[in-house]
Amino acid sequence: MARYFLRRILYFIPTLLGVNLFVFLLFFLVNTPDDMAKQALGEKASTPEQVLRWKAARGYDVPYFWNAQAPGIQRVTKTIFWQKSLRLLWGDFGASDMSLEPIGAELRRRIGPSLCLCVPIFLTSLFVNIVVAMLVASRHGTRLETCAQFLCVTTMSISALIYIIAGQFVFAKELKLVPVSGFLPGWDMLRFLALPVAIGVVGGLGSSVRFYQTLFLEEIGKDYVRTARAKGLPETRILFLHVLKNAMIPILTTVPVQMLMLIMGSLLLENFFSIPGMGGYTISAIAAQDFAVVRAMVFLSSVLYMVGLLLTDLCYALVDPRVRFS
Amino acid sequence: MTTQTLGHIFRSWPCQNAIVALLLVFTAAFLWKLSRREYWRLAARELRSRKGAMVCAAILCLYASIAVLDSVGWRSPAIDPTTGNIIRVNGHVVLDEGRSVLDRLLQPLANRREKTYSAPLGTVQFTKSTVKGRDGRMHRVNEPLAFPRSHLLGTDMIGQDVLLQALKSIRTGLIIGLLTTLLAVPFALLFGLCGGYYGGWVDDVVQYFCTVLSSIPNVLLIAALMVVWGQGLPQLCVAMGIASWTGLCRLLRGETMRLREADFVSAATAQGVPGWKILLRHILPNVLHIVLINLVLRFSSEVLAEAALTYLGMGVGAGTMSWGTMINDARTELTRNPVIWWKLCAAFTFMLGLVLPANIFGDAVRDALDPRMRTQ
Amino acid sequence: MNENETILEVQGLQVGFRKGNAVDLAVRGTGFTIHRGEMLALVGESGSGKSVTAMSLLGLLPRATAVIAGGQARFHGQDLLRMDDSALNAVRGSRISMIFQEPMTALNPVLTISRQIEEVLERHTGLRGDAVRRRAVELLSEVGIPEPAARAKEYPHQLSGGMRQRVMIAIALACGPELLIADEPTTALDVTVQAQIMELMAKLRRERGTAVLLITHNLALVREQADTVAVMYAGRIVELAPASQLFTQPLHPYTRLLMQSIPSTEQRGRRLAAIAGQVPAPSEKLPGCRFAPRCPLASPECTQNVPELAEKAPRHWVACIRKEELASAVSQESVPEEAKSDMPLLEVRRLQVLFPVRRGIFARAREFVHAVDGLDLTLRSGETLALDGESVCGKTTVGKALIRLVQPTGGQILLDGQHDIASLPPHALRPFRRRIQMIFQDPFSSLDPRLMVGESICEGMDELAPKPPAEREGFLRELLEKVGLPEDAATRYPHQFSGGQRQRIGLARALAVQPSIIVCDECTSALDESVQAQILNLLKDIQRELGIAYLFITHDLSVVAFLADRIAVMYLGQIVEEGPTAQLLAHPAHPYTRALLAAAPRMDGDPKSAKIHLAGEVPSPIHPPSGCRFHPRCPHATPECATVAPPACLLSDGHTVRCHHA
Repeated sequence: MARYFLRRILYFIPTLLGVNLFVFLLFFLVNTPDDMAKQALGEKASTPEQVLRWKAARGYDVPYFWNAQAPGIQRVTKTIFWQKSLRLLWGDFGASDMSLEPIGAELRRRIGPSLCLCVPIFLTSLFVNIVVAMLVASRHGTRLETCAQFLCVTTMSISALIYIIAGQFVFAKELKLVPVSGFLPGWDMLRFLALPVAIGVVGGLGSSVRFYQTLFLEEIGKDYVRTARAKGLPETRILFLHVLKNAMIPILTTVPVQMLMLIMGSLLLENFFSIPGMGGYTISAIAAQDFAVVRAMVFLSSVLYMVGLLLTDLCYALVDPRVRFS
Repeated sequence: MTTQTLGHIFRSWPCQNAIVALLLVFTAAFLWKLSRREYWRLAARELRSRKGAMVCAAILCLYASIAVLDSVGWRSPAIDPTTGNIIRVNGHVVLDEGRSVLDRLLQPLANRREKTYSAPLGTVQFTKSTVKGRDGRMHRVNEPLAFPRSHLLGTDMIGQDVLLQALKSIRTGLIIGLLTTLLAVPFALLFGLCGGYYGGWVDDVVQYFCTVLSSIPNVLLIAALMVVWGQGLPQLCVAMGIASWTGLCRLLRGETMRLREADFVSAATAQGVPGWKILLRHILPNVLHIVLINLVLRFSSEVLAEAALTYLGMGVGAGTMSWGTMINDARTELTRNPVIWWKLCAAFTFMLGLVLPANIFGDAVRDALDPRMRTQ
Repeated sequence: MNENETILEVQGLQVGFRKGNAVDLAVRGTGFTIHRGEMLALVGESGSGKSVTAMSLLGLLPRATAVIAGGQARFHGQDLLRMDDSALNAVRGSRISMIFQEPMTALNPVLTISRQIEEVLERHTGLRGDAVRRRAVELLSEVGIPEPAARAKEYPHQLSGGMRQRVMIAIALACGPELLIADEPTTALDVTVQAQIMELMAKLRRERGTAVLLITHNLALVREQADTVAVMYAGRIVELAPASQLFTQPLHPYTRLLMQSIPSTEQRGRRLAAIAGQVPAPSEKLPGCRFAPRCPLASPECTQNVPELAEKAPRHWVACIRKEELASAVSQESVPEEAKSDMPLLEVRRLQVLFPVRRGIFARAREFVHAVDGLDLTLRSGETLALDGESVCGKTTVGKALIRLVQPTGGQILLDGQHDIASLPPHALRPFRRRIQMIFQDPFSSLDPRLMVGESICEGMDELAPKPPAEREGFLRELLEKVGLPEDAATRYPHQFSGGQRQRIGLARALAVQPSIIVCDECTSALDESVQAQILNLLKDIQRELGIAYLFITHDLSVVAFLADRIAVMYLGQIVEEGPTAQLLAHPAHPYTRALLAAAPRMDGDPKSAKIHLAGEVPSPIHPPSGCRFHPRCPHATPECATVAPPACLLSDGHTVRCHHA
């Protein structure tokens, strides 16, 4: 088991390098630093001197991979790939192309609000989805199931934008139950977060319930459930002990990746509700064509994803005895 | 710039018409070929026996035909708007930008331009304007519309008919939903089948690329690509395609590995059938249903994603009509008092009208094609 | 308590499944009684409704689709079929318990086995806490699990199939039930393990007086185990009698044919009685006897009225209107045995197939599964050589290595004494591909569902021995006729055929390239007895006609006894004994062969004969035992056996054995 994890961690390194290179190529293959400068300064308004100055201020005035003019080790380190891409590997995010502020500091400021929004959504969703799905699965073959399934498909077919806009309109604008948007620390947060959290939960309900319900039904059809019935166990015990314990394996193993991804915030919700989190940061960077920030966010999220995968394997070993003892 | 010329050619009417024709012919040929195979005939019969699914299919066909009508067109002689005569330069007729069949059909609707907002089937403008009355005083009145009771879904800020916009958005939605997956399928098939069948280092390489690509969350990958390439419909399709092929690839790889162990593949190997033939004859037809299920089920989520991405500023851009841009406009309209709700409602209804049938039809297709995945 | 106390009385049981608005009856009125301590066997082929009968008694059928259409099942006077959930739950697991066919899936994979036993104790007895835990361990030791205290903490996947079935029995017996329903309890197990489990059940029955309802398709097993036998066909009991009487004097034509369809040494010179056609589907409307369409004795009367189960002889009930005339009406055609040539066609020398077990940081193969390890075999032209052995002995791998579906890691495979096909590269192998073909075990995965049958059959032919289009059609038609399929089969799809027909298609596909050797990998084990008989007859006919040699891989000794000219017994990747069928069956020399023969229930011989019980199960092929691989389980093992691998020694003409003590 330990060896297996060591192997997984070793595999992690080439993948990380691969992602790093991929992100670098993605950003620099199509757009040269000159293009970026011109875009930032305005296509027509930029003079060659302005472009040079723009590049120098942001460290784009060096070669991509190999700096022949620099001495010693700097031939490698004084390059765009090293400065802008490889440094991401050890968490050095550099500075924004637009504001020249360090990205790392900004991220640290924004993680808090993002988590305040996403963690409640995640936990509530997990709980609500499982309970609803179990309820629907235990009524298999009845009219309730048909209705629930239609409801799920319908909620899945509505754009998240509609949920947000309609929610804001009804609950904030018309009923005035909560503020339309904004964010304050402390207890006030509750007022601001109630609506986005509710919308986040409802928006994801349809697809998750459907997914969990298939998992539950698949388990209910298995032989061990028949054995449990033949033992004379009551149906509730069968569902909530035997079935749930098995079905939680595929559910729980999706948790690590999702949990780490919470850090990245929610693009739509943060944007609509003006919550100063990571998602909002990404969106404004995209709007402002701030390549450095977008690059950092892409890389950060992929690292989180891969760490999540690693934890998933660990999680499997924790919850599934078949993996633990092999 | 070569890419610009290419783009020009690509966007020209003859090219577009040819692409649409080619797609239709290809689809027809594909369906005809499938219909000659027992498995697909049975699946089709199963599908036909579900009334709900057939209703949904009919709605989808309606949307598809509108999209097709909006994709074929031609250029006609340009007309001088003031005189109404055909413009000639040195005796040569000048051609206009060209319009699609749908544009021509909806020309009356497009002609009924108002000045500004009006409610559905309204007779007066929604907003009050200041008019000098007969008594010489300035009055705040709702001016009458130029074409009262003719705008089923009202008009927007610049007086455009909302129904027209919603109809024109259908093409964008369908292109996003279909093209994205169609771009992803060949890659997923090639890599998934080869990785799964040959195993060894081929599989390792495929797996590595899949892991690297899929480790970037879809939204951020699309965001990055759109930042680099700029907004636009073709860019969005390619970006979404790149973000989505790894999932299908994994699925196909797994299924291929399962099939590789099946006895009928062993039998073919024992009878000296070479690997590539086994892939084409035995494995491809046996994974085709997965591709189809994936295509149909993915469709609706791509349509929904377009709206969100456009809203977030990494979609088709403001120049292209889409439900995303409509919702984007509607956001500010909702903050006005009294509320202007019809644009949002139109986008919502038209989107739901496409996505809900697509989802229901997708489930039916899945059930018909893959009894194992049935929830029973 | 009275010895003859009736425990369960089933009358007129009708069970159906909803399909649209209709209900298809799978069980059409079955009735039987079980007394205290009695073992009643419900025997039948698939589709006979035997499992549905058993499941309906405990209300285990899917609620959404299953319908109890009629009848009653009185358990101590209470009707099980009409009990409410709580009353039924009180009976289930405590007074009536059940064990199932697949021990691999019947236990909850994420709960420890002690937890799963404790659960039933807590539900039905007053025991709590430590007492429950102690009782669970006791139960495990009662069902013969070594080191029960340690094993109790393990999870199901850590136990072997036989052990899991013992755990299932422990769960079933936890509350001392009066009736145990065993649904095909040993079908998924090896014969030596089957013997262990059956012995355990017999012992518990003796000690506790538990009545057993045994559901099985295995007539030979029933003959040895059951007190009373009920033969089911298409939802009805057609014959019900004490076991001794039923097997000496079967009355119903179905029972008689079924018994004659079971291969054995006695049947060698004859064609097996293959019952034409298939068991009718539950939806089929047949007003009269449901066996009438397949019955050689059917009269017009048979198709009109449902025959009642009537007592023909004392305690011998038969449902057939023609039972008076049944004495010897069913006869078998005899076929002369032919002498086989001595020409070696295929010689396998020191064949070795190792599968790497990838472990460690860089996934280097440090250990190997010794699937086949130093195997010698000779197949003569036109003969049938049976390769017999339990699961994981590597017999399937041998078959796959011979047709190079797996790459041998060592040894030679000599075709015609000159071409070594073990190490040829793929392109050089092509000319030899058509010489050896294979028929697979699973009729449902051996044909590509997307290809028409004709395309499947012709695929190899087009590749290896292409024929001009003109001849192709005729050849295909000829092939289909040869394997007994209708002409239009070529343009139909696999799903339109039954299991037996699919095996015929598989045979036609192999024959299409005109091979001289066909490897039959358990090719009848997935089929019902009556259908197996058809296929075995066909294989014999084809061999007589075309002189093809068969390597018949199987675990079923009765098939071997009927079909094979010579037998090779395999254990953990090696041949332990090889010889002519008659010689080897009559005088087995290796202790493993003897145990195997003793464990397998047979239709001939004394049903109550003494059994040699082999302890334990086949060890892991990753670390095969040193010396003689059988020594850890061998009753005669000496220290020498553990160190020195026994050489092959010739006992008599063509009979060799690898044992120090033979």
